[in-house]
Amino acid sequence: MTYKYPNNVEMMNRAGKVIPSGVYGHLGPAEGCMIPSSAYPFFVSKAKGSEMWDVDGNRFIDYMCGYGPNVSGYCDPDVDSAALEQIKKGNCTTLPSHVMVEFAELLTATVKKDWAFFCKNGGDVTSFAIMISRYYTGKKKIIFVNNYYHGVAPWTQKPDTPGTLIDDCKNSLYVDFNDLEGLKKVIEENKDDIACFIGTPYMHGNFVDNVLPKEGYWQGVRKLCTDNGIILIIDDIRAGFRLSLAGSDNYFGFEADLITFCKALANGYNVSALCGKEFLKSAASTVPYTGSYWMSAVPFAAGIANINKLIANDAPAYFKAMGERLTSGLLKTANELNVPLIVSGPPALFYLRIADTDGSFLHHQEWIAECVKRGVFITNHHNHFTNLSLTPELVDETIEICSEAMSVYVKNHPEIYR
Amino acid sequence: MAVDNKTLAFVNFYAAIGTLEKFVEYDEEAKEIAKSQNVTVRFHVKGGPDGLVIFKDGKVSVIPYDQRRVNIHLYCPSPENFNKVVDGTAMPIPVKGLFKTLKFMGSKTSPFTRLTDKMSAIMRAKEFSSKEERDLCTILSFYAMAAGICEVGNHDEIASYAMNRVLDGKIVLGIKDVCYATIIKKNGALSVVREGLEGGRAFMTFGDIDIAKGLIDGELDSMACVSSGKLETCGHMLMLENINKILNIVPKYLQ
Repeated sequence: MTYKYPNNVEMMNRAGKVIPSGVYGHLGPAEGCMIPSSAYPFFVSKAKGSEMWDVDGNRFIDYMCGYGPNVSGYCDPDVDSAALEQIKKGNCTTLPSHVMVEFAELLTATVKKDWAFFCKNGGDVTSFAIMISRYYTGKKKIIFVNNYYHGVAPWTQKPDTPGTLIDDCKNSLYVDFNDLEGLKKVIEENKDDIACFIGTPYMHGNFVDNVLPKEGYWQGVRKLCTDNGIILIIDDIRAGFRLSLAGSDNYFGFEADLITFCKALANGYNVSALCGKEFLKSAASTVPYTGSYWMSAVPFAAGIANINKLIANDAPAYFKAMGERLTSGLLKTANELNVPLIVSGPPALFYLRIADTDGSFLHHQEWIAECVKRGVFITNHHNHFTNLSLTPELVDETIEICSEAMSVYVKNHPEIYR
Repeated sequence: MAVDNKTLAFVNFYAAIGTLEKFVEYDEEAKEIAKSQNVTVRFHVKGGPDGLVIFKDGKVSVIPYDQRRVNIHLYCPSPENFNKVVDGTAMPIPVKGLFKTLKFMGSKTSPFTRLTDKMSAIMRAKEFSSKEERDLCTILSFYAMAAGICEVGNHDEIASYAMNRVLDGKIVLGIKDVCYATIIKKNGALSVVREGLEGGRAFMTFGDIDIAKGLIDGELDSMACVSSGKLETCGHMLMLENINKILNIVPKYLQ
């Protein structure tokens, strides 16, 4: 028995009349990670821990975790009670609450940086990091790593992106991940004009197998940046707190000048942070940057409770263990059925792909659709997320469902799996 | 967005005139007009397309010039001049076949003029006398769109960024159970085949002909249609994403 979505479809039809795209952005089916859209629900009615229920009452074990924010579990009692207590005391007030300072102290001590600046979304802090770098260095060019994603602001886009101008991109330089020689060449060719290098700690691009840094890569990048007066920015919005609580730069054995956090910071309460080294604090003070809700106290209170919970539970080790349990179970089934399943990226943020010969992803999309229709919410071409509420029992149930889905997929392709 | 005359000339030749290939298949009167011609015409546009329009046995094909002997050789000194020819406000210079040219496209009753005028009228129509006529408009617009994606991707400065990121392979576009076209990326350029080919890497299919019309006319939100399943997409989504970025630019050339 597989899921049906009549209420989801009806709600999407209503949404399409009053909201661009129905559901715009990365949570929407038009982004290319929910294929075919008929296999997916569109709207949730409730969520708890690692599970969510859609508006048709279908239950899912959710490995997208809100695309990252669900790190301690949906509706986590510890985080939510801290938020509720703060609501009673005030949220968006004329003066910021003292909890902002407490949160900054906890965060900087945890991620081993000297200061923290709070905003709301990942794009807020990546943009601020670029502005600080340009102001501090007096230079304008940005080095990106191909297949990057640092938000949707025009400086992150290509000239053909609707709403972006060629001029928005004329200071962009591009290098490949793990290619120190290529980076050296780009620096040499643009000497004295580069403000910053921005990259994710490993390549967790969509639509491609995820790639970890080669031995010595980040140390090489660090040295090149230092030698050439380039600010090294790590975008840890997706991977932050899932590999290490001290930041992914520490996890991979180097030190970023600026590092951005968002998703896993407050278990879904809306706050992002740019953390940096002392020498950039004055620049961060000088560049004008603010927002109406950036000092709301509730997310700070939630963030404090969340980080303390992650510390108390040695969260990264738990995420790794759950990721390994799940991916080894999936690989076991794949091996038994002769399905060429490829698992890449760190186990805590595993990425899946069934290899094909024509490079169309059609087989992978077919298997994923069968998983979703049976109650495991995973997407086609995005890394997945683990969280503290994910139990071994839920992982084993996931393996069972995904294995059944794989059997169905195999049965549908006798021309391949004889 | 400014219209680039060179890109427009390629769109006019391969996407607009190129759609005659399908027009004479779908429309009986057009087929009869085409049958009256067995002629190979070269349109040579300086700084623009250099291609052939071939009428043979009631079929039309529009292809790049391949050194073959032609009956008529028409020259345009610039893409801008060719675009005026397409608009009917200028005539090309006949290098070969002056009298054949006059017979072919010299007046409103000449076969080429009749064909292009009739097709243009159908594609530009806002009101239709029958569902068949409306559907034909949609089908022709679909083929023009598919060819337009290729020409805009190959020549428009902004669209070429997206074109360069499209991986090699086939992208199959279609109106479900009605008509299909395949865009092929090879050797750094896009080309179109006006049928669905096997071995596609990415697929975009309009759910039915009314949805296709609404989307092509810009009356429906494509993202909302993807969300609601009215526009089905699957396969290599990055290829489709880049094709869609080109498609966003196509309407400024295909008016």
